[in-house]
Amino acid sequence: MNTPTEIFPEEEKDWMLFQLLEGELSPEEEALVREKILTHPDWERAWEQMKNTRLVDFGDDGLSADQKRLLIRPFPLWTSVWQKWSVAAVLFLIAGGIWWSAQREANQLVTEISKTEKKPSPDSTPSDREEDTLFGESAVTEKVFVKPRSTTRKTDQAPQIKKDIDVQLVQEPLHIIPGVNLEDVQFSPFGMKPAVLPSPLMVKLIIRYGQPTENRFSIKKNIAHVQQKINTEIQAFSSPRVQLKRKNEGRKPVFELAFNSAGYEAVARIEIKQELLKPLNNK
Amino acid sequence: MTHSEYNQVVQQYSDHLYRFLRKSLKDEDVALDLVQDTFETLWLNRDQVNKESAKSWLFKVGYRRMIDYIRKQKNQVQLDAGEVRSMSVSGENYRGLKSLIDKALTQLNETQRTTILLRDYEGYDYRSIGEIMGMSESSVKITLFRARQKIKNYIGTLDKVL
Repeated sequence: MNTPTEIFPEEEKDWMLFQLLEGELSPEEEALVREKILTHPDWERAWEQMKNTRLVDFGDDGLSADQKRLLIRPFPLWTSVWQKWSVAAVLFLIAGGIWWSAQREANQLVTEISKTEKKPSPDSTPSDREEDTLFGESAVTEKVFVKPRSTTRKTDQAPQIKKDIDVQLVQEPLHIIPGVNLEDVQFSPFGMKPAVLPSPLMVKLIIRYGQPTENRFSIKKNIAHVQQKINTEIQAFSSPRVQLKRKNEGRKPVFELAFNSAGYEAVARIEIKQELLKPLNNK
Repeated sequence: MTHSEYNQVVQQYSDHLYRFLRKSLKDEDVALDLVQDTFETLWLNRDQVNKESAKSWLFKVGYRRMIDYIRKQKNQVQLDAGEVRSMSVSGENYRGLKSLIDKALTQLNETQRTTILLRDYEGYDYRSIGEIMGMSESSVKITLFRARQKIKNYIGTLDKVL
């Protein structure tokens, strides 16, 4: 029997019972010990006590659920680099979509000046309203031609209609090309003078932005009012230019109101109807 | 050890470690603190620990933390066993085998108690117990024998009383 030197002779019984309990005895040794347990009451009692030295797992000594939860490490929201990049890419796409949508809306922005302004505006003078009534829509026939600003410029370039540009343009008032004053329109080729045509001329200016087929606004008012409205409305444009050009086309009094700015330009062709001119010419 | 494996280890072994420390220290709060401290250490060192060896690693670290705590306590206060509530014994506590074993464990010194807890509750062999406690296999065996002998004698005393 394997008996360490630390075991005293009187402990031999406990040592053998201990090894029996631990399962470390050879079959022969185990048979010998079990025989002693059966034949010796003190060995039997000692064995019963030795068996009770083995701890019993009652299964009720564990942690509570809350205590165990404290030890658990929750998984982080982002567990890997590729997930972070995926989320970043999605956010980038969303931001790009929002920006693109905003740009598209800006491109489609329509500034309606007075297309629906047949009724007198609050800031128009009584004479304006009266003259509107006198001339009516039939007094003037307008033809509008939209031409590309240049061959190198993209026709679908977005107009620069931005709030910050408004402020900038307010500080930098509309520049009218020298020598052109809408209030001093002379129709000399036809013998017409302001005195002959004292009332402001009805004109209609259509400015098409970017894409010629859409987003247009018009002005239909007397020339003085046109000038005033243009000065107000086109401040939203970047570096606007307005130019009045007289045209000689037979006996018809024609002039062009040219408007251009960054990204777009328009020409309003204005003709005075012949029947209206006759009495004026006769006069 | 991955994050998921760490949580599995918590589920599998936290109860065992807690029971080992609580029965060794007889103080639930301290045992819980040591369990949390041990698992915190495991989390920080999870890259160096395999899931397969996590249990013995936990018991080894937990045992060292327990020894550190006991030494610290001994330096601060010389405990009077009779004043410790968890060690007090009333007649009712002798009823039932569980109470009997708990009481018997208090009769053991730290090394004996740790050895028998690791052997009976966790099923470690002498070599594994020796690795956890920093002892040789033969020392573990002798320590375990002394522990069982002390419990046996204690139970024999109670048999006479009861």
